[in-house]
Amino acid sequence: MARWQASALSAALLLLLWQGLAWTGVWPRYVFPWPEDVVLTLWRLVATRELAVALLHTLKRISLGFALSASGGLLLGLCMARSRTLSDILGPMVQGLQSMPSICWYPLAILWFGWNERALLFVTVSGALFAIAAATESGVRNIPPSYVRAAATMGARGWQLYSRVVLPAALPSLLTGMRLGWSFAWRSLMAAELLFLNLGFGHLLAMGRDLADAAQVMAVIVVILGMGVLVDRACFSRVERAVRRRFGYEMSA
Amino acid sequence: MRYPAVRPAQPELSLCSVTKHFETRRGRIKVLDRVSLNVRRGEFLCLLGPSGCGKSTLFNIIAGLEAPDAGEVLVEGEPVAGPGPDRVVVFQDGALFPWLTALGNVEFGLSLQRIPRDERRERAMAALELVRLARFADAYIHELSGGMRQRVAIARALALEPKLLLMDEPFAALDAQTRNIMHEELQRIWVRTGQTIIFVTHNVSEAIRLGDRVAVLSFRPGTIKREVAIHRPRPRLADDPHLMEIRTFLVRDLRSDAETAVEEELCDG
Repeated sequence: MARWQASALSAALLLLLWQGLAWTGVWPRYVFPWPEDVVLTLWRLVATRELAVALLHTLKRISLGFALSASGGLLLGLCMARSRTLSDILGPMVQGLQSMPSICWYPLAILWFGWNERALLFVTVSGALFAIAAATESGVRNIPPSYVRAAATMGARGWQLYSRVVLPAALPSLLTGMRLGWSFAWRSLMAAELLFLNLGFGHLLAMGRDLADAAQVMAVIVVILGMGVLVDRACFSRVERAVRRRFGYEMSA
Repeated sequence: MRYPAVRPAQPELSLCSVTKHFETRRGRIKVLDRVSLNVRRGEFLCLLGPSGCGKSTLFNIIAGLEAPDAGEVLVEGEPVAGPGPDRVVVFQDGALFPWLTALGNVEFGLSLQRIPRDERRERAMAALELVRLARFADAYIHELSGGMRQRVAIARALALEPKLLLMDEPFAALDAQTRNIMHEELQRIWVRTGQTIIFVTHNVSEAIRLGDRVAVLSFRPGTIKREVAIHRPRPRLADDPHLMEIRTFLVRDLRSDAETAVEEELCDG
């Protein structure tokens, strides 16, 4: 069975299970909506452009948040890989902050920045930056030392060593870090948007709850799920696999 | 005629009283003790010694990857102050870059020197042809066998036309058959290019088959305890009876040092 056939089968099974549960009538339809209700609601959200507006806002936030986390995390990770002392000082902090659910920063972010985009950005970035920094540091530290020595004897110096050897050699781990960072940023942003009621997917979710519209909540969940999978599969996973194949970590399928 | 009729007065490489210590938990250990050595232009010198005798340290000092505590390393009379493309290294694991093709790897050092693209490609292809891998120019490293990888590593070094080619047990990780082929190949390449080579190994047969001269390092502190010139025409075969004699002599000579090294390792463990 091909990969896509398996995926299609799994989706069909899920749908069947959902419809089956709905048919049992254990929960009333307004609490546990049928698949068709969710599809209709999704259509309504598309038609009224509510979804488009939410998508636009969420995308803007996640892009900015992820770009900041990625560049900041990369820089921090490289600095920590470069200096033992810096790594000893910042390492435990980065590890600690990395394991902290970033939504816990939300109250503080509001006190510091107010109810605005900057608070959202703060939560998103603090969710992803440290994971990316930690992955970058370990990725750079684990490249075979003979790569750097070989490049040095061929005449590579300073920045050349980084741009031509260290970064390409660490690319597979950097990508894994970026992928992890993306998923952390996405989770943090969704949580924060639920509390920060200003457009975005989180806002649509909260609105569904306030209007007791379970179909809307489910419709938005489907979209959020779809977005997450799409970015992970279409973007990170694909690039990661291509890179790993080139490095010979994975035999080509 | 292997050497130029008029030899340059100055040796290609001079080591003058090179001394190096290591700090360990059990105190300061003298790894190299006043090692002096001259290498002529076009010479193939093998540095032979048991593991732990400091030959890798000496190698790193010549490459400029480590600095000696005392003494001097001169290349064409100029003191060495760090790694540089006049002394290119072939490592045991090849240290080839998996994100580049074979050709990309060979071009790497040339591109650091900002050599224009066309010339770069030409020189890299010539180097790949020299190691008979031109057909695999577009292959990625993981697609090549161990022996082919070391050929690429040699091509990558030769493309830079270094004054010294430094080889650190480059065939130690290969199987016996492949190693034998690589010995033949390296002799052929050396005869064709006249490249000055310093080849580090703990394998006696390898050292005497390849070298014009074998410098034997003693175990801790490392000093050059013997130099053996090997006058055999090339290509030399692995079972050359003349080489066998030298081998028997050197193996006996190395035995006590090797035993000391093993005992020390056992005590450490």
